[in-house]
Amino acid sequence: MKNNIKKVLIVDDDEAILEAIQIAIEGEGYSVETLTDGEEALDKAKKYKPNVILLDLLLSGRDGSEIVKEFKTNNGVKDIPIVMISAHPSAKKSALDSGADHFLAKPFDLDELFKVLGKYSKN
Amino acid sequence: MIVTAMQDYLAQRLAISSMNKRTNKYSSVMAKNYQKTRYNPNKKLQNLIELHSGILDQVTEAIFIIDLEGKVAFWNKEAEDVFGYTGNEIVGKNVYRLCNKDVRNIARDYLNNLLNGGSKDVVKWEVSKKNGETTWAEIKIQSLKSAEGVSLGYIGAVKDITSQKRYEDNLKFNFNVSKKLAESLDYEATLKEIGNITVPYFADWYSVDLVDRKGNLKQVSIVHKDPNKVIWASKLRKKYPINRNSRSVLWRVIETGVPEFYPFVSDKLIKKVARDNDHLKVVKEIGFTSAIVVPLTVNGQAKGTITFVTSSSKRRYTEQDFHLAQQLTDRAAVAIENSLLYEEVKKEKERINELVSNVPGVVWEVVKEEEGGKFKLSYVSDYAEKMSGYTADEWYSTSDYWEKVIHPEDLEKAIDESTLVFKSGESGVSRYRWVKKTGEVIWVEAQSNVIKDKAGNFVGLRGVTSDITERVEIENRKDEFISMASHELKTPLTSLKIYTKLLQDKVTKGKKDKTAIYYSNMYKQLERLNKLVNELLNVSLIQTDKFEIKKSNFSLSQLVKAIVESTKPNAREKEIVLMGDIKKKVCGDPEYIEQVVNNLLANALKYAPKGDKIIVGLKSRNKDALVCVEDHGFGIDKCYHDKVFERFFRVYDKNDKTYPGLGMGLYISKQIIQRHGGDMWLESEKGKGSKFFFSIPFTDEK
Repeated sequence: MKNNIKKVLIVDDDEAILEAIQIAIEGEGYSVETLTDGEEALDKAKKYKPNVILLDLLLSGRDGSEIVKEFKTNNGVKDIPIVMISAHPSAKKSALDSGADHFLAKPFDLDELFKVLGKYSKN
Repeated sequence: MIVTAMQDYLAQRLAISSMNKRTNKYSSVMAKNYQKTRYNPNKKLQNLIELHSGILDQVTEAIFIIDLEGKVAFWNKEAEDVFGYTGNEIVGKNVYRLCNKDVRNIARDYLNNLLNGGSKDVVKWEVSKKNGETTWAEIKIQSLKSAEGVSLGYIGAVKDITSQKRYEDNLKFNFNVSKKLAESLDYEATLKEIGNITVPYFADWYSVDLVDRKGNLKQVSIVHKDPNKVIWASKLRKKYPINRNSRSVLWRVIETGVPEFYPFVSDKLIKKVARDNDHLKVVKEIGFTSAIVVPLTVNGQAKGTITFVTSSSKRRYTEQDFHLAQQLTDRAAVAIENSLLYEEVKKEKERINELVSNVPGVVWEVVKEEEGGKFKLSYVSDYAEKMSGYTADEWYSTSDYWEKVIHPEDLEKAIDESTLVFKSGESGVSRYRWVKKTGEVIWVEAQSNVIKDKAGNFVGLRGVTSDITERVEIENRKDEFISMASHELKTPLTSLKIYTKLLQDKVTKGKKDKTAIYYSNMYKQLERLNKLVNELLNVSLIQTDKFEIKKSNFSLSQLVKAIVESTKPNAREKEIVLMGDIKKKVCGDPEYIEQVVNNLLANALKYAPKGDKIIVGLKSRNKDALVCVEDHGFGIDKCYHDKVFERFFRVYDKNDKTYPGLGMGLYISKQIIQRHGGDMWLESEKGKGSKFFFSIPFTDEK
């Protein structure tokens, strides 16, 4: 059963959002790790091996799209689907262009988030 | 010719007769003619004269014979008529007294020259008559020699050519006047100059009098060859001013507009004109001979007079002179009209320059060149230097200078936009950057209008370019602030939405009690808040040109159908009807197009009356798909049709109900459509509802 629990890594510099998302998706049965610092994302992902990463586009430390590029060129993590989240609705294009698998504009519907997580955490 | 032939004949005959020494026979004639004179010329000469005086008296030309010293030896009857002197009065007197002072030496030299075999040309000299009048004479002189070849004197034939000479001189005078009139536009100075040409040639006195504002006749010019007399005349005028109440010839001429001509000014006339005894005395002192007073008629109104008077020259004006004086005055009047017009134009130009110099921007004008089709600078106001650092002269140095100050990155856009204004014929506003002489970059806004020629062709552009750097900076700061604020608002909104949803699910668990409704309302309001924040963000993105569109090919028809279906449940008591279909796919960002359709539908629902039928129409056109959303609400006044698509614009009508909103929806919608290469417009009449249209180009794919 332990293998069936899907793991999600959330990276966002706003702790209130991190906490809200964590509560919501843990309620749906996901295992969650959170990070406020984008610099640590790659190391964290290598250790934690999440099924999906929820990544904020505009992090205070580093641009989210740079992190995506880093992930997508790094063996071992490049197959982890990344869902980019941003308060900028028009950031969709740059997010997808940088290699993210999906884009969700903040504030999103919980139902939509669950649907997206369900889709990308299958493998 | 006759005169010359006669002279030659006489000269020969005289020589022969002197040779024959047949002098005694005619001594009685001579004695008869000159008994009162004590003059005894050279014997030989005397003999000649005695022999031929009978014939010479018959000649219709004035003939005179003088001795070598210049004393008159013979004077025929015609000469008496021309000069007024009888033979008795003039014989024995020096002939040079008949010449004007300035001709005397010339005449002497001429005669000496003749003795030495000099030229026998005809000369034209001004001579004086007995009555003091001067006259122009054409004189042919030959020397008289005895048979031995000894010089005895001269024989001369005189022709009065005053009228002919005057005619020639008048032509010259006329020409000089015309030249003066054309030279200057300062008419008072010109009128004085004309006076300097007129005196002493045409008149001894010349005066110009103009009616001033008070209705007095002001002497603007008085000319006489003697400056003391000018001062004296000016003083006289001050003592005896002329206005509508004075019985003055000048004033009468102004009132009647008819020129007056006095070939001879009689004492009787002077008496009539004189104000009092003192005045009479003074006027008599001037000694008028002839006078002409001509009205100076400017723009159909007699503004004054020009007066020509002869006195010391004793010249009597002729009809020809009167005509010339009128001609001259008419020409002066035309010159005054021109100068007044010029003054007016100059003043107007100065006024416009003054106005333009107060405009806080560069006022400019460019003309489209026929060849090359470039815009050539034809005017730039001095403010250009203040704004660009380059002087107006630098601006004019090359015709495309206006392009040189534009920031290289903005040049293409600036030229494209000017060309668009030029082609459309509508006024336009264009924003770009200038690089100042100092290297500083400023933002400018150019408002331009098309210049049309008489035929309505577009020939150029004119407008005002203002420095809007400060405004742009404030706008940028504001857009940045909106962008940051909306971003910041979204963070708590995200958490709020999540918690609300969690609570809703946990507490209500599918129940439909009051708590469930409250949570549902709460969630809807959060959605609304989110929509507002999104709109704010979009406005700032559009403003800063950071608005990105991800285009794909999709079916507009399907998208609109889906939106209509999902909106129907929220339509309350209003009906939404979909009409038409579009088969072809369009190219665009479906999320943004959805936002546009949603916005139009939401507006229609907001403004449509209860029970209204909202029609969503779909139509294929040649190159694009057309969507129309029609309601039958209170409509929009025509004057707002363009304004409703402007940022933050709200229709304000104190009689209408007010509806909430920030004036962002239609602005964003039109911007989205325009960024798709489409257009959005409105057909509406107040009280009859509105039709909002938008078009999206079809995809190139087949």
